[in-house]
Amino acid sequence: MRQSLAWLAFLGLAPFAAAQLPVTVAVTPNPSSVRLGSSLDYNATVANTTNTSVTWLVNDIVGGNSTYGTINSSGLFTAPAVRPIATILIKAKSVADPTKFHQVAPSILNPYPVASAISPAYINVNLPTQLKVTGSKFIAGAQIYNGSTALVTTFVSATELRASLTTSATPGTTLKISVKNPDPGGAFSAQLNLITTPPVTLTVSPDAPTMRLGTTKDFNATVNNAVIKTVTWWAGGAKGGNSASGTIDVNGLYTPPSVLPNPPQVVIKAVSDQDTIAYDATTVNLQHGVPSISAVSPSPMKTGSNTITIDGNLFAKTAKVTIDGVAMPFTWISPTRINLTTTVKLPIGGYSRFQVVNPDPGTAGSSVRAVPISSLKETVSYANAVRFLEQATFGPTPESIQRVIEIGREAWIEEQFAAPQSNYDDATDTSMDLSAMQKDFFRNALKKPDQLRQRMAFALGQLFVVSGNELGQYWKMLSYQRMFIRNAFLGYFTVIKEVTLAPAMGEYLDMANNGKPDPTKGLVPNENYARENLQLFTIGLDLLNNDGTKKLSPAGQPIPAYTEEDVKQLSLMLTGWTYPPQPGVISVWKNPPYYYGNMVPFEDYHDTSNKFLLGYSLSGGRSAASELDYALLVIFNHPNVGPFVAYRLIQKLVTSNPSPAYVNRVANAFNSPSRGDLKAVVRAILLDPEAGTHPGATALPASQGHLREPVLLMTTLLRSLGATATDEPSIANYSQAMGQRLFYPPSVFNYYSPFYRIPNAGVIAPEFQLLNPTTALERINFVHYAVNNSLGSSVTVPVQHFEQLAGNNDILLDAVSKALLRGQMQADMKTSILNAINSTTDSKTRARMALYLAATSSRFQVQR
Amino acid sequence: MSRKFAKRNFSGQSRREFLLKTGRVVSTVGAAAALAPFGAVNAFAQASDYKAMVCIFQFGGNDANNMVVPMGARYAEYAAGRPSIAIPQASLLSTPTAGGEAFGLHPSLAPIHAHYAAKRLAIVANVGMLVRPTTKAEYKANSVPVPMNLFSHSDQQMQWQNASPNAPSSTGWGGRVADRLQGLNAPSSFPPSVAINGNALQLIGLETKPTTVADGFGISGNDGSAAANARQASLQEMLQFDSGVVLFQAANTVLNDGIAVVKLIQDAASSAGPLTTAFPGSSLGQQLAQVAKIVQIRAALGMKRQIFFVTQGGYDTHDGQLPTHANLLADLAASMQAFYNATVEMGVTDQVVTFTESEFNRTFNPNGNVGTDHAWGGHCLALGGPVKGGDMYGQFPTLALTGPDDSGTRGNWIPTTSLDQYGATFAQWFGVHPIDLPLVFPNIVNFPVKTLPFMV
Repeated sequence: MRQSLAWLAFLGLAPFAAAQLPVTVAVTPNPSSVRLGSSLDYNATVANTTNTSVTWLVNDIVGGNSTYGTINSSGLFTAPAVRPIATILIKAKSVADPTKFHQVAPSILNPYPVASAISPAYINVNLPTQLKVTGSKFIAGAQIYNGSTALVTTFVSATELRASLTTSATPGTTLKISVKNPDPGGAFSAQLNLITTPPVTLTVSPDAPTMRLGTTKDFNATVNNAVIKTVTWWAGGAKGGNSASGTIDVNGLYTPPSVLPNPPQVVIKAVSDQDTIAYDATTVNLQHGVPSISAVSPSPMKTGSNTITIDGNLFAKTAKVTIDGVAMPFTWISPTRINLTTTVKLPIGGYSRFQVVNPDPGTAGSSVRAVPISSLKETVSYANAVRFLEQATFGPTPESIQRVIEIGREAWIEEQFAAPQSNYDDATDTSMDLSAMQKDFFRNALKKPDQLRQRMAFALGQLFVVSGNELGQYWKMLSYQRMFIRNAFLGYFTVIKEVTLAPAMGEYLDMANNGKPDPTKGLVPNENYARENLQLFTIGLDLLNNDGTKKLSPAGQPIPAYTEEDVKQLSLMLTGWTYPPQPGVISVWKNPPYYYGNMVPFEDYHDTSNKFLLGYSLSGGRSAASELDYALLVIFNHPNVGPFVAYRLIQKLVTSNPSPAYVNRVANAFNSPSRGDLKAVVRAILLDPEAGTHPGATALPASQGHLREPVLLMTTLLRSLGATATDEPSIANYSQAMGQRLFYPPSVFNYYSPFYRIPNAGVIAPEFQLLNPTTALERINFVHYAVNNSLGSSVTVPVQHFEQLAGNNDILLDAVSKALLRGQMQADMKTSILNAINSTTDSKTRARMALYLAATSSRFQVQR
Repeated sequence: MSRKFAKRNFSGQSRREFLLKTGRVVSTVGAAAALAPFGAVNAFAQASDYKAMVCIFQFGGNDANNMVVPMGARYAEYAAGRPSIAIPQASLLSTPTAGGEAFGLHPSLAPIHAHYAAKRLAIVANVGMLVRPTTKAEYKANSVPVPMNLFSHSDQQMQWQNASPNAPSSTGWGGRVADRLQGLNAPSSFPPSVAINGNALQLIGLETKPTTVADGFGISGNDGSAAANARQASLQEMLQFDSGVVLFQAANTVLNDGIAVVKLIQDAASSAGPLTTAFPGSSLGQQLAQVAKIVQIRAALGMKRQIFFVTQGGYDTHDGQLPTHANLLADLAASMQAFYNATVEMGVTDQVVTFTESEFNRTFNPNGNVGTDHAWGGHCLALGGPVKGGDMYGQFPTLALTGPDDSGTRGNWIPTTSLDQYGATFAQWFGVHPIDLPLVFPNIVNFPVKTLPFMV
């Protein structure tokens, strides 16, 4: 074409050149138009010269440049890609006469837009959708068209346009999308297909889950109506989450933060990758994690002040830290560390339970960490302290064990001597039966600190026996039982005298209203009290050596310690006493029964004859009071009394079969320096090597120990297990079922004889008199109720302490051993109990079973 | 099956005892049978029958002087001796001897009075502990051995039960009877002797041990679950541990016995329906009701010979005796009568005897408190089909202070029938051969007359 045009120009203009006319140049086409980036072939017709060559310039630049376009020597002009500010001028300049030229200004048109792709390729019906059209040659002001409708278009670049489109077209329709560049030269691109689809929807599951810190959860997004099924996960407003809200990975696996956010909720969102407008979100309710303890240090731990570090995981700042169930102040260091400082006491069974409990939301406790505790200072071994307390109290408690270990036996005894007295409550009215007194007894035995005094009073009450069978009302029994608490550490003579003058004893064994003989009626004094005083309270039937063995006649027979005549004489000496008068009532011989204060004498009813007693004679004519004192002094000074008392109190506290040497040592303490001093007797009994509680105590004799009588079985088990009681523990029915109805011994001979022998076994074992197949079952049944904490509401056994140790066989058995068997459970028992508890995985059952088996075994039933 | 109750322990026995018992228990054939005297044959001849002895022990010392009272001409002697506590003659329940002497029972014994005329109730007079026949002169001269610690409750209670008044003995005469006759109960392992209300020395044998039984006897928590079974297995395993400690072993043995007995009773309980006989609600009444329940399942338990021991306390009437004693005897009679009715219901009236014991009589002379003190020989009662009742056996004492029967000044009767003779009468009826009586009652050799003829 360029050739043709040149040729036509030559033909038409040639005549003018021959006339030597000025050279002319004419550029065609003119006027012209050219699109940016496109080319146009210009021709220059030069006339009036033979040299028709021209030089092509764009804006006076030979050949042009990229700003204004380029033109080659043939006149082929290529417009620039971008419209320049200045007008584009195409100039052809004659070579023959460079002063001659022709310059034209083509009209510059916008290019044809090229739309090569649209994103998204699918549009949801009725959903405002941002369309992105990519391609080339887009000019600012270009518009995206949906069919023939221009959309409000944002020009991003020559290669990208955007527009928002909302279509209501039927899903499945293909929309035709094109781009039109603006004028000048505005033109459409080719059309692109945009397919309408139903709206994209998402469902995130699980919906509104609750989850704990320390756990992860896999979220799923179900994407509907989309071809592209993938989603992008967000947590707490951040793609992929962050440290405060937790993180969520591309697969939807959410990991909560390490600290609970406030409020404890995090929004989890899934955004459709096809339609980034489409998303679903759900709120995760976060809870505290389940804390765990990996270590407590120090472990083992000593009693006293300790700075303790608890390491583990997921500790909440607002957690509760407990030791044996008691909340402790602490310092929260991190979710994995807590520090605290506290005073540690010896716990039940020697193990303390540490636990961290996170609060709500999702309150949860760590599993229990058992830490072995031992005493800071050990003057007495654990086993010896427990044995000592079994002898001196109603059963060892952790507190008392620690005290004995730390201060030693001797100091503990002195501390007990000085401890304030606990007692029976006042009688509120005369109709109260002894059940209230039984409750007071168990309260004092289970809870009160003056344990040695209470234990001694219990022993003395079984030596100077009265019975509720005849004195079954509180007001009749009260002063009598209080007397033993008051006198537990005083003198034996005082005890004898107060017993003799006690109205309760006066009624029970007929001291009261026992008058002098009445020969006219053939009446003689009642022998009851006189006889039982000699036999049961002071001297006993046979003459004794100081070591408690019987003196023998040359024929090898026991020698009676008193005669029937002594009984009669003593009954005469004790005549003339009646009940104390009630306040405000005139005292008369045979006062009505009244049980407070001592009995009072009436000389008219006192026998004044000459008398003799136990080899001593007493001239007549004396007052009732002076004869009573004399008689009791004669009795008290009988050499039998020391070994008599020593033997019985040793039996009550330590062993049924004391060696004669042991009895001798305790009798010596009774005899001097202060005859009858019960403090000296108690010290001698409890500190004797034969009690087996001194450092380095060696193996006990095979016959050592005594069966725990029912009351002691109960109190020892309960105290050893850390039981708590109300002030009215209602458990006396259990001791009654086991053969010991408290305060109701069957006779003045008590529940059992100090000389009872196990049939065919030879050894003396008083408490075995109460043990028979029936009561043996009652005893193990009591244990069953105790270790299942089902003794009623007045006594609570903290079985959970052991249940929480039951995850570890070694710890459980060690704790049971320490609580019930002085820490000396033998291997055969361990094996047997292990076999039994391994029949179940339930820690509650395991713990209770272990306690039951240890406490029903004879190694617990017998105190040794 | 536990062998605890048939455990052989030959220690402390003479060879003669060993051989005799071996012959009885083990076999009727061969050398053993040849060694056995004819008593063994008797025992086996009776093996198809059933006999039971029920001892009611009146603890505290029953005032027998007011339980059996002379009437007619001798009443004045009685009334003069205890003016403050005499029972009016008119209220006494007449029980004349076969020879026509007039006596009467305390009015509280009315419930069993009719058995006397029906010849099922016998009175045995002035029974007590003796080492040998003892006259007042011998006693005063201290020329014969007498029981140790007369007048002491505890000692006399033991002596009545162990029939060993002058030497310690850890076995009782009932237990020694059971030792000799337990072979009749073979192969049952249920104990031949049952004390309802706690341990009873009287029932302890060298070989046999009594058991106790109670209503609702059982082991709490044994619900049949695997865990409970494992617990029970461990408990029983530990009962077998030999730790060398006497008290441990002893406690283990008793519990082991309890577990064994509970099983035997539970297994046998369904063999008989409940008894319809009503019993008093008193302790004694309920103990006898328990005895009746065991007698009723005797066949299921495999029992041919059973010895029971029940107790009644409260007899130590030093003061205010009259109402107390009347109440005690009323309870005694009502309970004995109820038990007799139960033997009728069970069809064993001719096979069961019930009898009383008490550690001592009380002073004939009252004290200043309208009560009485500790004395010596007293009267006993025996009731049942095998009793040749309607008569008084033994010698009734002369009711005179410092009189021929008074060991002292207040009417402490020197027994004229010993516990040995009284007990031997029951023992022989029960099947103990006369030759064996000294093995049960060591002092019986001192008495020319071994038994009284009040049992069939």
